[in-house]
Amino acid sequence: MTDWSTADLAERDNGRLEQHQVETDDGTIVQMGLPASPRFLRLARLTGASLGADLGLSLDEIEDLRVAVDELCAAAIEDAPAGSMLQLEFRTSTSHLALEGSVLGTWDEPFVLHPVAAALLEIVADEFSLDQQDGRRSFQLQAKRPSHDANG
Amino acid sequence: MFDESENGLRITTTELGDATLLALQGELDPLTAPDLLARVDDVLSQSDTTHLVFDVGGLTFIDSSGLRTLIATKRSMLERGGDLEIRNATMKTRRLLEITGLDTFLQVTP
Repeated sequence: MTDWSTADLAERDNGRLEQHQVETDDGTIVQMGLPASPRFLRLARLTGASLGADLGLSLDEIEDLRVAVDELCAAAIEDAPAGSMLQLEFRTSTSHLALEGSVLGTWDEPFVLHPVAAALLEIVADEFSLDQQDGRRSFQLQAKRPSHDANG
Repeated sequence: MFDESENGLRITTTELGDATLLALQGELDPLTAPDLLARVDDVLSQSDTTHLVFDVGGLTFIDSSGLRTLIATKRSMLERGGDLEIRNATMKTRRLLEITGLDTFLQVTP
């Protein structure tokens, strides 16, 4: 059974911020629930950067990760229904960092990533995907541990 | 001089003769990009300036929403016969401009 330690970061009118963290045999799992608002993107960026540093990423790689986390979270919350929440789960292992995110809601139009965001993600993200179906917009991101560490 | 600070982005506006300088400090992201666009609209509606300068040396983060703001401002300036200059970009900002190819569209100066 997972022994979660819970830290309530803050409480807002439009939602409750929560963060859960657990250490596993080969890494860390961090779960976050944030109001689907640009105001909270910096918390997601900060968490990604912190875990990326733990993984041994270089400064440029951490910066790329910060941008990738921001772009995907921003895309997920774009036009999100009022009061909806962005759910995030970061998982680190010895070889990589994985992030899954989702927002529940109903959108009138199919989701299209802005060309500038798409161009940026193609460069800064090792692997990513973004999907919208069945009342849920979701994404996945993966950042790999530097090869020099893996070889070392 | 006009100083505006909202949502994590401080925008300091200074008139420099024929040019208007907007010094940006903080994060340029989906939360703050509308603040910058609003400030640019104010500047352009209140003056005939044709040379707008963004001093981005104080930016600690910029994403695609920030880059889109730079593109939109550049287009606004071109439409009024002027131009936008991006000044004092840090290595991080310069790198994003380069990898997206925007350094060839925008006038980036040291």
